[in-house]
Amino acid sequence: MHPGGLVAAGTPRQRKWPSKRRTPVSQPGMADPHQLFDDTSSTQSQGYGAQRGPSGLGYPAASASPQAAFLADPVSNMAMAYGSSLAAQGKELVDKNIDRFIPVTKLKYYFAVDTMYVGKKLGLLFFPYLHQDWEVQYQQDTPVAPRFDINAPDLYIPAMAFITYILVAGLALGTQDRFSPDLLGLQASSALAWLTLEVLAILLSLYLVTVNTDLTTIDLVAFLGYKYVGMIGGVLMGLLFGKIGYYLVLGWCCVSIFVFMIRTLRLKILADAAAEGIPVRGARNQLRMYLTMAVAAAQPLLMYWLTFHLVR
Amino acid sequence: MRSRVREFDSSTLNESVQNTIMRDLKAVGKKFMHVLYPRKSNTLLRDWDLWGPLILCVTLALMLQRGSVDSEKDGGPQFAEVFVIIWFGAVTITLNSKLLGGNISFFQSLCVLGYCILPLTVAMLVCRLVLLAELGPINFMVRLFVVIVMFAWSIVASTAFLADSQPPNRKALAVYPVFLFYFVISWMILTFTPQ
Repeated sequence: MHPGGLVAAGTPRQRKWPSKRRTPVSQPGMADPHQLFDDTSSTQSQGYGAQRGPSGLGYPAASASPQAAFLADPVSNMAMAYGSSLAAQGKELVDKNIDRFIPVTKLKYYFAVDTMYVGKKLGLLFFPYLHQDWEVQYQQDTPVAPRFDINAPDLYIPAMAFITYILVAGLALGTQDRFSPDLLGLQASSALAWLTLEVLAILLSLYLVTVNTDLTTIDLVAFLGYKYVGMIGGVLMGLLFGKIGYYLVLGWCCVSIFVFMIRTLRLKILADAAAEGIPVRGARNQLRMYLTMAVAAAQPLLMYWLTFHLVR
Repeated sequence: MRSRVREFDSSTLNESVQNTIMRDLKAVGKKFMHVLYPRKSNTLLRDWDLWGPLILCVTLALMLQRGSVDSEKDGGPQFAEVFVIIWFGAVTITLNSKLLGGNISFFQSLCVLGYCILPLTVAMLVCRLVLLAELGPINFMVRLFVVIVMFAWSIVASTAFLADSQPPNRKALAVYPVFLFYFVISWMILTFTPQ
């Protein structure tokens, strides 16, 4: 399972045995543009060639056929060039197809975070009451990377929170002697299923209410993934301090995530006027208000649903 | 007429099997030494190979699995579960590291994470030996201490290699999933009790 002899990047395999083959085809001074590493065999074998001529394995002697060498050379070179171009084409094809299903460059935007951002965002998730400005800053039509603006959604925190939630669930079940490894898989898939259901339901309602919003699916997944942070906090406190601790912390996190979601989604779903707090009459804005409240209210419900069976 | 391609093929094909195995074993052994005494060096990254992680993973999974078939519900992992947890955990960490913008390749990262399981495998061996004595709180404390020390060693060793691939304001973000990964393995080792 280590890199093959030809393609080890920058580390040519050393040959430790005497070469039994005939002398190579290139003159010492000729640098072949297609070969993948320096061919030092010519200087070595020309020293051997004189001695090994008579004892060769039936190959023609070294000095006798430089013309035959030229015949073999272009064919093998062409074969190698073709092979390497085929490999490059194959790699391009794979990259293009993967990019069609999973937009890797878009994903990279959501992972452009740093430690400061993560710390501040976690603080915001637990205590969103003092934060004033919830707008995402833009820079020439594209939103700024999460590293530079705390209001931008990211996928690092939801992903890590999801994985930590699964592990903490395993821990909680383990301390109650109810653990088995397939339960971990069960927790993971049920949490993922609820997430998918949520995303689909919200996308459907956004479509039905015909909201013109720049809320992409990945944005939505990011926002819906922030509740896992509160769930982890609740379960950990429940493990340390029993049911009282669990209910206290979970209650606090539920209210926080409710406020967080309302303030974030208000800017994305509601029209600009309503977002600034001016109540605008009209059925459409009412509907959007209700949608935002429904999404925000679903978060605490799901937080409770996915964790209450872990704390006894 | 021998083409040049054929000449390259016979390069490692003609040597004896013992030579090949010894060379690979020496490479694996050298990397084990680098893990046990973590220094800033590029050896693990430059000549990556997956033999070492495979050996360690199989050893760990063999030692962690339940003895008899009819005790499946006792809560211990089976061989396949340990294997899957280790490899999927490593793949997830690598993906996270690449998405965060690290300049380490996929297999290099797998190689480093696999090799840094070595301290935890040593911890498993020690726990197995300690479990031969009578069970009790002292037994548990000894095992807890050993596992914690080896867990810290694993994290330090893998951080020494992986943290360099990230810019300084993101090192903690890349190290956190590594911490979770080794925590899971340590948890499995600590909660292992023989039949």
